[in-house]
Amino acid sequence: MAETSSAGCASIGEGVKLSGRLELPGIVHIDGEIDGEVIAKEVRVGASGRIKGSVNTALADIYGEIEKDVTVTETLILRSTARVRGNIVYEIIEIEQGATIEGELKRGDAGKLAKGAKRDVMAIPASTPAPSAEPGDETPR
Amino acid sequence: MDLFKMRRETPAAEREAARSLEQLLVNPAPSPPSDELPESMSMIANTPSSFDLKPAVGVRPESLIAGGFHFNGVVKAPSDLLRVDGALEGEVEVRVLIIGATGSVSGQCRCDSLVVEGRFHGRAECRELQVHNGAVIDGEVIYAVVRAQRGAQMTGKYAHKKRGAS
Repeated sequence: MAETSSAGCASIGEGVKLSGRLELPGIVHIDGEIDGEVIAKEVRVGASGRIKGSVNTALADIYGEIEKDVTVTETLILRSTARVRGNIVYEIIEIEQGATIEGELKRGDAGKLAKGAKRDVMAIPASTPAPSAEPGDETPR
Repeated sequence: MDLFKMRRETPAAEREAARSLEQLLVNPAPSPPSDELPESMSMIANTPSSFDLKPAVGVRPESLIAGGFHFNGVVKAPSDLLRVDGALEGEVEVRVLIIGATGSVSGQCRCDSLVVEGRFHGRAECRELQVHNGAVIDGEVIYAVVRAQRGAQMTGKYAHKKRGAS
């Protein structure tokens, strides 16, 4: 692990059950069971980890189970053992074979608006035609 | 003698310098990591995708809707493979449906494998769903196995069905 400091971070070991709201500014690694909401900068759920509440984070790396809505402002990675039953909001997603999702997927724009510098860049493609509108450019395969 | 030695040495040094420049050009120094995220946070964001989806170009399609071709209607060939590089609107029932990067399908789709590099809009029921980087899926999807490369855009409702059940 690249972390040099554990300030603002937490680790919930396997077999540990916690109910309530978990809010922290850093990274949380969950191998146990949480009955409640999780809010963190980065959430890592191990294969034995389980969250029975909603998750709100910037980065998520999921091997375990989440039973409610997941809101990720940046990257969400669902590993092969991941199970999500709930609605997902993400910016960038990756799903490994074997992961299951039950719910609605949405791409969030909260992340884009927060970064003022990127706002203008995002405005340019809107005025240019969508890439699928000109399929003739591509050489036939 | 000294002169001779120097004459021999100089080109060698030059060659050395040229070689290292060539190496620099071939392998440019990695750009410094973006400082948008603190170091510990960049672990997930900066790692490459844990798997690679090969573009489905090597697959020889049994049927093809070529780029620039717009088809509106019903395609039924449950044992066939269909590649769509153009646009297809309507109903599709095939074994394998590959939507190329320039392709778009909107409507209903029932197939065993659905490979999306382009755009899909509508309802799909498949066993295997493969979503490539840059692909766009919007609608309702029932799947048994899903795989999505980083950068895929998936929106809508997703439901998982047990493998083998149809």
